[in-house]
Amino acid sequence: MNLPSNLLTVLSAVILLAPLLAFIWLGARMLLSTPPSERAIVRVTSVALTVAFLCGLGVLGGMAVHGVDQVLVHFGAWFSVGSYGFEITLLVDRLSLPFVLLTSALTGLVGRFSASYLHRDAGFRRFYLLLLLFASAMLLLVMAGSIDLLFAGWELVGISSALLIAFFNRRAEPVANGLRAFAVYRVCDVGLLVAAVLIHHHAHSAEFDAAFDHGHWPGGLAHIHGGAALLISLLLVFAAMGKSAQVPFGGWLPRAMEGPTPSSAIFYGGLSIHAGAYLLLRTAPVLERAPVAAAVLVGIGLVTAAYASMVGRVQTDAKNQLAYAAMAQVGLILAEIGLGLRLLALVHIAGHAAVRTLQFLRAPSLLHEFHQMDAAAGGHTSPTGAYYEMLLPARWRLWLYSIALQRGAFDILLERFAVAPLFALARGLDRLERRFVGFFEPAATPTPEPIADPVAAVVSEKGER
Amino acid sequence: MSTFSMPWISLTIAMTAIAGALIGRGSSPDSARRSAGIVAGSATLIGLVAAAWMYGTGAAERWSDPIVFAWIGEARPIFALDALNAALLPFSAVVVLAVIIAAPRAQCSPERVGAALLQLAASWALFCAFDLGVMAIAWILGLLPALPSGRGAPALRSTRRVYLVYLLGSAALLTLGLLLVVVAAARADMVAPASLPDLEAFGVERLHPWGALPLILVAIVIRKGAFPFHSWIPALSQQLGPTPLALLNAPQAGAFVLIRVAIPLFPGAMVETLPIVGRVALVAALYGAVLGLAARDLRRAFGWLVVSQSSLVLVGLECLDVDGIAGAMTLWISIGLALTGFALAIAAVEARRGPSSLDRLGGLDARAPWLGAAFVVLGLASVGLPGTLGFVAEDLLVHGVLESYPGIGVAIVLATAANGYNVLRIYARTFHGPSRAAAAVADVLPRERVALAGLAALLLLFGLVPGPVVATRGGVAQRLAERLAEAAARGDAGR
Repeated sequence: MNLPSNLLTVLSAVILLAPLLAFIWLGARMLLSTPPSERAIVRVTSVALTVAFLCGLGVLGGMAVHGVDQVLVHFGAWFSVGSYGFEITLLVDRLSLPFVLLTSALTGLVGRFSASYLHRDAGFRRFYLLLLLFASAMLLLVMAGSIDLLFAGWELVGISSALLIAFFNRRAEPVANGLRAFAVYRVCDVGLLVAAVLIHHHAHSAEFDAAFDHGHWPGGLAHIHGGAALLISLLLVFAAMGKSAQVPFGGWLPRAMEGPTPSSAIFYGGLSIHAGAYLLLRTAPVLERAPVAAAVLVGIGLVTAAYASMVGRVQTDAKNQLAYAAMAQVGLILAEIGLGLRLLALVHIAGHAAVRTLQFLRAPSLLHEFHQMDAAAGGHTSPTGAYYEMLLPARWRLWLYSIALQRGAFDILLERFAVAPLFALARGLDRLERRFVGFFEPAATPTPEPIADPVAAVVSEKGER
Repeated sequence: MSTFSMPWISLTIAMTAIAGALIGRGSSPDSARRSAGIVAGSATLIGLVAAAWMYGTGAAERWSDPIVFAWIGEARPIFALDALNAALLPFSAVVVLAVIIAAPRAQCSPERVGAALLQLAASWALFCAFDLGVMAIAWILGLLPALPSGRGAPALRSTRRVYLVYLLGSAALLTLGLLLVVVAAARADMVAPASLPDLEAFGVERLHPWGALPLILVAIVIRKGAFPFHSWIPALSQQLGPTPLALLNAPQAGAFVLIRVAIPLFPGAMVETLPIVGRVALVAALYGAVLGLAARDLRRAFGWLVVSQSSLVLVGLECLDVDGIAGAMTLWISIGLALTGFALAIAAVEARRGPSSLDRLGGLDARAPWLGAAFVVLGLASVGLPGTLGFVAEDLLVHGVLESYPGIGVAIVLATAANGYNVLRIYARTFHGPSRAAAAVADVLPRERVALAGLAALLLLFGLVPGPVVATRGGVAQRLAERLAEAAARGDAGR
């Protein structure tokens, strides 16, 4: 391996390691010794993400100068048994590099922004810990050289997202909303995990480079055909629908706005919401082999775009409006991917992520800024009342307004026909179980036995020590 | 006497059991905890040395303890060390050590601490036994220390009956099944009819010992808590608490007997039967995951998590594929460590907040953030959090099973997904939400911190560097898969 190649490999590895080491440092300090000061946390976060961004730029420059299409970093087998091995390979190419730069830049900026926004908040350190976990996970997701490794990043993005939605955890609503988002993620993740195994089985490799050869991204051909390609593509689309909040699973997105604004910006404006799109772009060669799945994806994307722009219009707060706007744009991006417009989708993602993150970060001061503008202009600066929906007949408008107010009733339908029956089944079976165990002693009531004075027990033990 | 002629295994088992009995008669909880900690710590060190010697040097396929014994026929070594059990010795000792260190004071009476050591001795005896009689005795002795008292609340008496019916029932079935094997072998004039290596070499399956295998398998299924024999697990968790259940579950005695006895002695029949056992376990995995959604208290939620995740070990063993079997055996270690840690975290919550109903919990994060971090990390590690050994195990398991049985693979993924949600749900209900914590609630004590951080560190360490665990489990899985493949080929040729 020559020097430029070595350098690109090292830089690629540092992109991932910098935020990961910062996460480990902060986690260890919080658990094992005195928690670091706010200033130290912000400094370390900024340095780690700046290093990642500069390394990303370095790789970009190196690839451009040396005419390299992609950099593969092999760390060797993580573990192997029989014929199966889990290789740790990072892949930096024309798809992952824009995501690397977006992730490190936007996360770094949000980290800097949050230093003031969350100053002296009780959860300041927890926020940065989760932000660094998210940055590491997102970078792992976009740099993963195999679908197995991508899944690991995907899972960690989901967990950090759910925990950040529940950031203000003294109130019940954010906690419930975090759980709802996590439930949708878990259900849709089933699609990705099964698809990963099927890709391994049919392409005889989980590595993108081997599974989709004949040219680097946006090219590449998959050695998967027919029913297998259709099944894998549909599973991947299902996985993307959860993470990218597509119809009918998008109900968690407006609820996720309960989280702090900086995390809303980075997750649901900038990066996490595009993870589904990234997955489909990365596995686009399989989708290309399954026109039916591609058509389904276009349909889902367009329906989501129409639905989100309709529902977004009746929202009464800025963050919800932005959430639906993001959902609509991601719907269009998925439709572009379904149509095979991979480069257009990538450009769309980059533009949308940057603009939406900025809008989210400005959302808390939006009214103030409007007032300032209006005061400076001496009146309202933007005309109101001229909307496209005014072109529709009045009866349609009322009907659509009603649907939009109920957010399409998707949450209600899912609740009634999927969640409620499952929980009813669980409760019914639980009653049967308790009754069955009760047969062993008719007088028994299997309820937890309270501990006499648990608080006193702990306190007395501390005292003794 | 050279190092290798010393009866290390017999001595360790005997010393641990004697120490357990003596400590159980003591009166001071603190000195009982200290003494038991020293004994369990010593056992951990001896187990680590044994495992390092076994896997590191590759000196022998099997090292037999010098003490020989015969209750029927010619005398043979009672205990031996091999690739299957060498890793399980330090693993089971670490689990007991963690419980002794971290269990709340209310659960750390000398009797309970002594019982934990007796359970450790019984687990080691089961793992190392190469005599069917000793194995049956070890199985029974492993159950007795956790037997609920006959005195106390009616609910506790009910649980005692459940325990007696299920677990001692499983012991009776196993003993009878093994006895039928020994009788058949004795009738065939075998010189050592209770010796496992002799029976295996002889090929006892061709004697067709009537009813032996079904009895052994039913005993295994009950002990594993597979459907429909699962009810004892949530009941036990609710009445005795999560820690005794974790101690009982971690050695995976049922899975061990399946690998040690059922497959080697009845390879042909097991090729046909393993899919049935696997399906029964799969139903338990899904059933436990669904019932976990309805759990309204920590103990019951933990019980269902144990039912669901532990069943996956049996599901993996049925796939006859090296990846899947290795995944199941790695999962055995990972859930043993993670569920024990999770049980200790739940016990710590109960020690601070009393009743474990989720409706009465909440807001603990404000007072005990360290405990919250341990709770969520260990809980998620039990369902395959990336970066922990659980992720490695589940990856291997899902790959192996999906290759052989796609439907079952999807069911495993669904069960794990639901369990992951359940873990996060009970974490959120316990640590988040409006604060209901009393002002005096303390975060983890130093000894709790040591045990919880130690278990989490092991899971993370083996998650990042899974080579040692996967290689040792993979070697055993390879031999098991080969043996089953040979038996399947012989069966096909016979037909």
